[in-house]
Amino acid sequence: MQDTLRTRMGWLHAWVGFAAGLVLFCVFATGCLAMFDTELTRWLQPEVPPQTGQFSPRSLDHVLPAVQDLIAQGEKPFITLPSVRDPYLRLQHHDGYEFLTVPYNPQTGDRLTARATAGGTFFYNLHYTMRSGIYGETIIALAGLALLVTIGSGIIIHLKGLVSDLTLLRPFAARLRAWLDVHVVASVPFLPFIILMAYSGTFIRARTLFPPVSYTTSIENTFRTSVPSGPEVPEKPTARPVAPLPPLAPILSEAEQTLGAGQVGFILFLPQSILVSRTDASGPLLTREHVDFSPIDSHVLRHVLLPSPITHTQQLLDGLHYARWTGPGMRWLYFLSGAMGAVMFASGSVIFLMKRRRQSGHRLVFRIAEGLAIGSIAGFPIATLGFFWANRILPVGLPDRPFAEGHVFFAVWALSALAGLGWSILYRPFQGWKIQLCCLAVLGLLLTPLDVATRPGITLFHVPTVFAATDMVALVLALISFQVARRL
Amino acid sequence: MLPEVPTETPSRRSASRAPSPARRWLWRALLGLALAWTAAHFITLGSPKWGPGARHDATIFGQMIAIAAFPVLLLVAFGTRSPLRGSIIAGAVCLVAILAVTLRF
Repeated sequence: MQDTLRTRMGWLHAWVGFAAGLVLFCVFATGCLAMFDTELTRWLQPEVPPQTGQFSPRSLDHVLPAVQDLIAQGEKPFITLPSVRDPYLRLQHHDGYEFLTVPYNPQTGDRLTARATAGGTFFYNLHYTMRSGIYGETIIALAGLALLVTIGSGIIIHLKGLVSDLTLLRPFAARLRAWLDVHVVASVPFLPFIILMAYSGTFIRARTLFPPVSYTTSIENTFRTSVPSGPEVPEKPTARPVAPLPPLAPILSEAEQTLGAGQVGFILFLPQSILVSRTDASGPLLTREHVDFSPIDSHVLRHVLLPSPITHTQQLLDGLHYARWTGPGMRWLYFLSGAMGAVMFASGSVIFLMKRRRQSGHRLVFRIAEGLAIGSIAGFPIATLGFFWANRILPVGLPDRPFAEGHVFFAVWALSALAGLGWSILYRPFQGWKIQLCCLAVLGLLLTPLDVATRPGITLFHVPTVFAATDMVALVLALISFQVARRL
Repeated sequence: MLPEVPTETPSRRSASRAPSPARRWLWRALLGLALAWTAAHFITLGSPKWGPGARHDATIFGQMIAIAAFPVLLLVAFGTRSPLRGSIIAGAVCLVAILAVTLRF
């Protein structure tokens, strides 16, 4: 191999890309799903009727007893107000893994009977933590840095033929050539999006990689917080009496005088204050401007807005990454771009393996790498569909149902990865790919019948279209995976 | 008459045994990683000193620069024809970042 800029960059692109690509495939796929987390929650709670009445601020007071229960358990609950995307009041809290949500009627404040679910936010949490807390955040932030390096080296490799390669897609050419075309076509048109997401995503989690203190201090702080020097702290905070909370309608009205009418997104209940925060849908800047009230007599404590140019830049990056201010068209564009990013990682990993199969195919390390690729590229979508299936099949009254859905997801994923590793180690990787892709196709194809069979009050033409859209995406995924399995 | 083959010319067989540069590239990549990471870390660490406004703003500004600088420095340190030149460029940035933390101005 000659030592030129192109070969050097090709080597870096391949190895860094493959090492981080399997994680990044899952990050981009979950990012796509997180784009529609609110809508997916509606698919996952089919009992909630599609239409409801106008929001009445007095309905908030009917939610207060449930809020107080959660505060007594040591949680930090918040109520999200109705919006264009979701017309319901929702009481939410984070249980350490995901946001649990209970819907309420926005007009009367009555609790709606709906199955407990991890909801669409399951994928949002998975997107940036992999359900592993700070360790998961660090790994994903590292993968983000690796993505920036991979993009840079990829641009240098393709610099000369960047435009000409774009017009080349030869799906019936030799396999390696065809996969390379897919890789280029999936990545080059979406490069601005991928660079934006890589940079803003890594920046959002920058504190995990580049803390503003030295690493020694940072590690010391970690140990200091994780190992208490005093008596042992119980894992679950004990229930404690909570003073009655003040009525929320006057608080909302006063907050709207500062934030603007209809600009309140959620009300967060902390031990010392009630935060009324601006909606994330108000504009590209994710300001999280909030007015704080006393939980005792509801007087205004403070108004928090960070107005400096640097903070505005940060808020813009956050806003562009989360895209909560966008309409459905832009969200679909984000979804498509994210899906193309996932295709880019999948095709890149396949190319990496194909190029090395002849020389290193007999090595155990190669076999493990291919097994992991099967577990990631085919296994992750299977696990995702498994999550949707579990939501509809598990008994509605099952205790800890949201956890059970998550467990099904991870069990299916682990099973898929183990099967992929097994087939690969037994020198039958193609069989592993084909079986898993066929499983994916079957699960995707049958999601629509499952939805129709298990959704209460189904009609042929229904509003909203979240059910139809979810089923259609699963169908398209099924057809693509079937075609890929056929062509392998 | 067959032409004489000089003994110094490598045969096809010996040419195929030429060592792969991958091992050398691995070391270069690790060196580039170390330099780029150090520079990014010290940029963040020093930003409250030279950054704008409040400490919070300065830290954010430092992190913005660090994340943008990291891939650029790694690619420069790894990509230049001469390994020494790339390392010197990345090392110089690293040194400036360290000096910005340690020097009082």
